[in-house]
Amino acid sequence: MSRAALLPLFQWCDHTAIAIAIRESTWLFPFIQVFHLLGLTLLLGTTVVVDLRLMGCGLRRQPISRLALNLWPWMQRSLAVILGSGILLFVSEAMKCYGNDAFWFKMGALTLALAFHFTVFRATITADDTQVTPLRSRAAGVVSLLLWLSVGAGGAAIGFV
Amino acid sequence: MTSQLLVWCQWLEATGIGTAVRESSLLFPLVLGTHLLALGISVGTTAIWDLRLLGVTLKQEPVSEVMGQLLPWSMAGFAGMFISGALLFSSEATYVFDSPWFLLKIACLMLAGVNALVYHLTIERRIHEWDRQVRPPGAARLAGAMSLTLWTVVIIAGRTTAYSL
Repeated sequence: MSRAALLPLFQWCDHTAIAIAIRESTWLFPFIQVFHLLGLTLLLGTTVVVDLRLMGCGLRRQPISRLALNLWPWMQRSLAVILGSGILLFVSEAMKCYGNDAFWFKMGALTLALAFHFTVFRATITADDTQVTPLRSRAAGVVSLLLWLSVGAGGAAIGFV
Repeated sequence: MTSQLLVWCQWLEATGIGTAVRESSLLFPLVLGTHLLALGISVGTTAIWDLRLLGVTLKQEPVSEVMGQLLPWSMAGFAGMFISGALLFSSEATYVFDSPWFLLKIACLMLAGVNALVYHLTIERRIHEWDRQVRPPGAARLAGAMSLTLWTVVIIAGRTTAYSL
């Protein structure tokens, strides 16, 4: 799908009442950004610790499924906060994002990261530990960490390109 | 004091390293990427201790167990973050020196250090009394909440510093 096909959607987002309200307010954007980054801190924490564990580092004395039982709900909560606040931040500068290559990179990485998170990653961490080969476990940890870091790097780059 | 610091920033920015990072189109994103990767490891593992101290996750694991296994990662991540951060700073020292967001970031980093030190010297001394408690004592929960808040502010302020670059 070409970018241009999505242009009307970006334009519509840019003109919604909520987008205008966020743009016109001095404090709304940074206020929403605080939630976006707080959610990011929590997702980072839970994901990094589970990824490290999958790679055989960090909390090695705990079975993966026990970590998953504890941390999966926090991943879901932080994702909800990040996506909710992210959508608000996005609509307020939809047209700026449209022309920003880093934004498109971030969205591509995010799509892959979410797809991986809810399929392979979830299946690997919730499976009975004896059923998961070390290779699969390590690969899932490395891929998950790389995908989420790509999302973060893309997000950081939005301000620079 | 202030002017001495400024002179130092000017000197730093003019060094070979500062100039190289600033002018190279490859080096700056590479160092920034390293900074973010290290941040992920360091703040990520720290956030989990904080959540355990708050008694909201990994409740069946002893606090010392969570900390002991994650501490090397928090430290290694912090070292990577500090080195790459120093390189980024050297490339934009005089600008960053003027940014109130950068001052906020440094202030919160120092407070996070003080918070960890106070925790270590006080409530952690009696950790054997509460290691297995689902909900650690108030002082320990306060340390966790402070750490989580301070690190979030560090990220926000750091990002805002870069954005206003």
